[in-house]
Amino acid sequence: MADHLLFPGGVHPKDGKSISFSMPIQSAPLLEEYTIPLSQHIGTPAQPIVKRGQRVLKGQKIAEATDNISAHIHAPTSGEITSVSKHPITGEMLAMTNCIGPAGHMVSSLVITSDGEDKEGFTLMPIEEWQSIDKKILLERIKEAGIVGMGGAAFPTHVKLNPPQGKRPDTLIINGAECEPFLTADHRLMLEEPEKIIEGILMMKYILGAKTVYIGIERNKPDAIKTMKKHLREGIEVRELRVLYPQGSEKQLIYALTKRKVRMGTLPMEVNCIVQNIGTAFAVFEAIVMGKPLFERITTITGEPVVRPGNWRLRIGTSIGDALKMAGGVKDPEKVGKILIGGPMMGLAQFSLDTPIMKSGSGVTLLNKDEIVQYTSVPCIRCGRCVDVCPMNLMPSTMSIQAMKERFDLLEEWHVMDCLECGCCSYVCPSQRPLVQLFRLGKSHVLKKRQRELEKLKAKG
Amino acid sequence: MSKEDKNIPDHKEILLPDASKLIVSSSPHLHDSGQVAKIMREVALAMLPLVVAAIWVFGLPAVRVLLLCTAFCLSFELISLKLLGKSLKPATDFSAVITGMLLAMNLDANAPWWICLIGSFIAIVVAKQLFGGLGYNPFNPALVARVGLLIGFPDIMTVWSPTTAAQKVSTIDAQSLATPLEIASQSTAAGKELLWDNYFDLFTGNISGCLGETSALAILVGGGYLILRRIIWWQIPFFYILTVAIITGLVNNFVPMATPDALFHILTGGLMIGAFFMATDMQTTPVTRKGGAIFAIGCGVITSVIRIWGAYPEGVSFAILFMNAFTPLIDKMTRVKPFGFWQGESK
Amino acid sequence: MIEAVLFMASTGMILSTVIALANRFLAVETDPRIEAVEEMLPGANCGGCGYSGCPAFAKAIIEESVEPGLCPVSSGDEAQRIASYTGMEPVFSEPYVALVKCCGDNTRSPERALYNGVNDCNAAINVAGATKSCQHGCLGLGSCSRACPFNAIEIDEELRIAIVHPNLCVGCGKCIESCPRDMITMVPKSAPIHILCNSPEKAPIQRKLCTRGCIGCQRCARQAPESIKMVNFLATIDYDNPPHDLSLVDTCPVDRIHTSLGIDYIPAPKKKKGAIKSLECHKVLGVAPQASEAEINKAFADKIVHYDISLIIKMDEEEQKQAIMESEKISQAYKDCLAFDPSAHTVKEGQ
Repeated sequence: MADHLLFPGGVHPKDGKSISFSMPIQSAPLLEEYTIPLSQHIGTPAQPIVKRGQRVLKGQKIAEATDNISAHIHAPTSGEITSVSKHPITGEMLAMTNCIGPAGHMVSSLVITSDGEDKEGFTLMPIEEWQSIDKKILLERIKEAGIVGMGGAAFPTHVKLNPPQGKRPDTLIINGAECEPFLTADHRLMLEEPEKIIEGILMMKYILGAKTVYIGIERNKPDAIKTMKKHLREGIEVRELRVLYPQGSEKQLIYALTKRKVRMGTLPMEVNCIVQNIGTAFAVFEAIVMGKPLFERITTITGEPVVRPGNWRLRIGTSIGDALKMAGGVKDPEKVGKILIGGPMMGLAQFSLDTPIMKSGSGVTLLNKDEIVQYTSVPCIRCGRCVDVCPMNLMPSTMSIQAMKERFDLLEEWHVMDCLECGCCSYVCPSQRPLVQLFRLGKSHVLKKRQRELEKLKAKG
Repeated sequence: MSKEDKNIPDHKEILLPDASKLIVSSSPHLHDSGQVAKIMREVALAMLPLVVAAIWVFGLPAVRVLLLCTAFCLSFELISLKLLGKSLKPATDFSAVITGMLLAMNLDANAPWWICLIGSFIAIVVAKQLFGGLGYNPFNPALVARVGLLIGFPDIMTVWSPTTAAQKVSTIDAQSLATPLEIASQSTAAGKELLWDNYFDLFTGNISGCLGETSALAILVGGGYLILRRIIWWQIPFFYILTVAIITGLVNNFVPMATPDALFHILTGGLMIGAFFMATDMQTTPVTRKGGAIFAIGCGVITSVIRIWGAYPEGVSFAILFMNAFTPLIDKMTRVKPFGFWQGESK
Repeated sequence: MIEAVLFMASTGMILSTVIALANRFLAVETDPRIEAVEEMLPGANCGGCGYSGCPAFAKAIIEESVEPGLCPVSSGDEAQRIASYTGMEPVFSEPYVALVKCCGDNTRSPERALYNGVNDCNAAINVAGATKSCQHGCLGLGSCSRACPFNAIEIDEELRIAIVHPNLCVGCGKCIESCPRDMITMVPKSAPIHILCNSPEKAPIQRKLCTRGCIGCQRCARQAPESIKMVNFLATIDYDNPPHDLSLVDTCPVDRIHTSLGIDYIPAPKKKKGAIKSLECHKVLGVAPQASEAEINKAFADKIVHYDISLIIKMDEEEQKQAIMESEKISQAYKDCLAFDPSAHTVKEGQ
């Protein structure tokens, strides 16, 4: 296949996929307790619709989306709602509790204590002949099933597949790149369930009314490419992508496959493209054809310290400690340096084994103390490597000096809001400066400033 | 349904990590293991061929100058860090050693020890630590020291020792001690065209001058190694040497008496070492490759002008220092356009 | 020679004419009073008045008749000067200082894991809150300290907590925006009692997060209901009506309530069970509570010798009165120490 266009920059971090890519997907054993956060997606958190002590069935809706950019949440197993807390002002007994979320902050969550029976309670009817059903009904079904983007960003899919009036996306791009090192969940899914994925893709194509569909897969997964090509259907094309991080990032993926550049500050919809993850396509299939809501996902538990790394079908609400136990624990607890949800380039570092894995948790990666980077406060030596590797063509060296001097106005001018936070710049920095953290700080300041200006405008009238 | 699955072995104990010993930081959590000390060590390695060439051409005095300069530079770095109340850790990044070696390359083989001392002081304390240390200095420290010494002690800095080859000849006259560029400027002053016969000597380094002005061959080897290892950008030496070659070649073509030919200029003086080791110093040169190319072209123009029409026979140090001052402006002019930038973007 | 002189002279005349004309026709009219008022202002440019700096504030005073008392840095006398210059009545506002509502340093609210990254509270808040146990507590990485133009906030490096020095704080309010957890408030300088906790969690959870956190037992709120209100499970002082009864400090079971603004927040070490509490008499004589009779006698003798009658006679009237009072105090303390019963003052468990 012809080499496709590359985006500027990019790095080749340690692949680490050989640890787990040959392990087939295993089912996770049923656990005693599942802690389900109420905010597992971009947008407003869901509101619980169950009471304390209520018995629920597997797949039953336990929290409802509050507005359009929100998603429902379903129970991962049958059991009893055991989370409880007292409302601080009214004194009412609520069915919620707090747990440490993946970002380190406390989040509201529901706790289900399993009754061991795992009884199903799907309320959605399977739709076999979806080609003859109205698109709106299919979209409604996707919304009811609580499907969000499975690539890690967790944007509600029913919103993404429903572009506003006037926008007619003609290209649907399926992201099978999985550029993040160490993660192999999408790879195994492509190897084991290609037909379901393809059918899910066709459903999305039908809903969008797109003309072309590309499935982008990185070259380091030749077996997945072969398998997907074997099950191809009309209108879908598989494209090989060169192995480069962050190939799976939306803007870079669109450029590599279609030569279209997404303008800064705009969405891919502006260039008539929609990007969806391969796991989302699978979830869409299950929701429509089997009537199954989203309450489990494929997660890679990997890393050098893990005894038996592999890929599991985990239910949402599984804690990291339980997931590690499934993988046999760690070889030497003294050597473990970091536990990450996600991969090592963009994952979030955890400090508690009780943190639950949510719909967006594509992997649990453990790193040894000698594999991780120790950030320092050495000054920038202006070597220019970060400028070479930035996929958005920004200038991280100058921006980091501005951030350290707290010149957030300059940072906004130098386009910090377009930073992908991919980590390429920090990866190559010889001074080991915490560049991504500085840019996140800059972004939060810029957002605060914009918020204040918005409020000032509102106050004026 | 049993809670124990066949996946979990029940005979072996399952160990979990201790959560309080975990390290929490922002992403990314991997690194490509490039470090400042490593870069400096590679540069030192790349300078080894030049060091060997210098010792071959000038003998043991070259070793003495190298050791003195390196030792003084390291000591001044440690002393100034201590006096400024900073931690001594930055001294381990090897950059003082590189400055010391480069300074030695700018001195004559028989330079007095106190010249090494004053030069190291200017390079480390004045040009580097007083500005804030590594990463904050705007001018190349070794060149600041060289220019400082040149202006402060011109008689000592313009007298050259004989090469080991020249020492074997019984009569040593002033002519044999002059650098090729000095010979060239003399012949220009006399209105005669310079006809140089021994380009091989220029290439291997059997010529008079300071330690680093000798072997173009050694510098090419070292510089090529650095480019292959992606420590320095090829744009800077390439455009620097190309610009000098074009300008001097053109002038030599039309007015042969004004200056020798391009090849002569490339192989003599500090151009090779300047292009590969001084003009590529990261702190003092632009951050983008395009900026680096502009920087190199500017250096080339100024070097050629000084060599052809200026009072000094050698112009590399002044040229690089001059362009160092322009680096922030070049950085501003060569700001990279972000991916997806469009004209309607207001900022 | 003569040309040079003529040239210089003519150049000088032309240039001075240009300057004179510019001064006449291009001059900007400024009210000289603005500059005078600006001289009287402290010149700190902190923005505490709400304007962008001292020159802007001076302009506002003259042009918009803004109260000079708005400036938190200038003392009462300085505000009076400005007011009398401009002919306005100054309104004296009570001086306010900043207070960091947290005393959970890392001996009390330990860090749960090791943080590696930028040493700034706003940067660390996104990385798991720098792994501090209490989600509402002070991170101690220094954003407020760096924001303070008067260096009034000290960060204790070992304990990782911010402490405001009230004698240096002028109440400009710059620190308030810099705190990512919004735990800095302005309190009146005269209020003697403060509650150094920001966490609304209730007791079972709070105890795990911080050993000194407010558990919401409401003892203080019941004793001073008009001054202390409960918000969730956090006792909050209403600074419009602050409490002045120092005995409130003793009602707090976790030593949450403090006097002063956190400088002496580092508490006296907790007395071990079985320790004997000392009384005032022991302090006066300078002996330990479990001292023997011989030691008490010696301490008394050492002290009283300074107040011997032969010395008192030589003093003048004022000094005599003082000396007699002191000697009476020491004699009383001596009697109390001899009568002291250690078993009645032993620390029981939980104090």
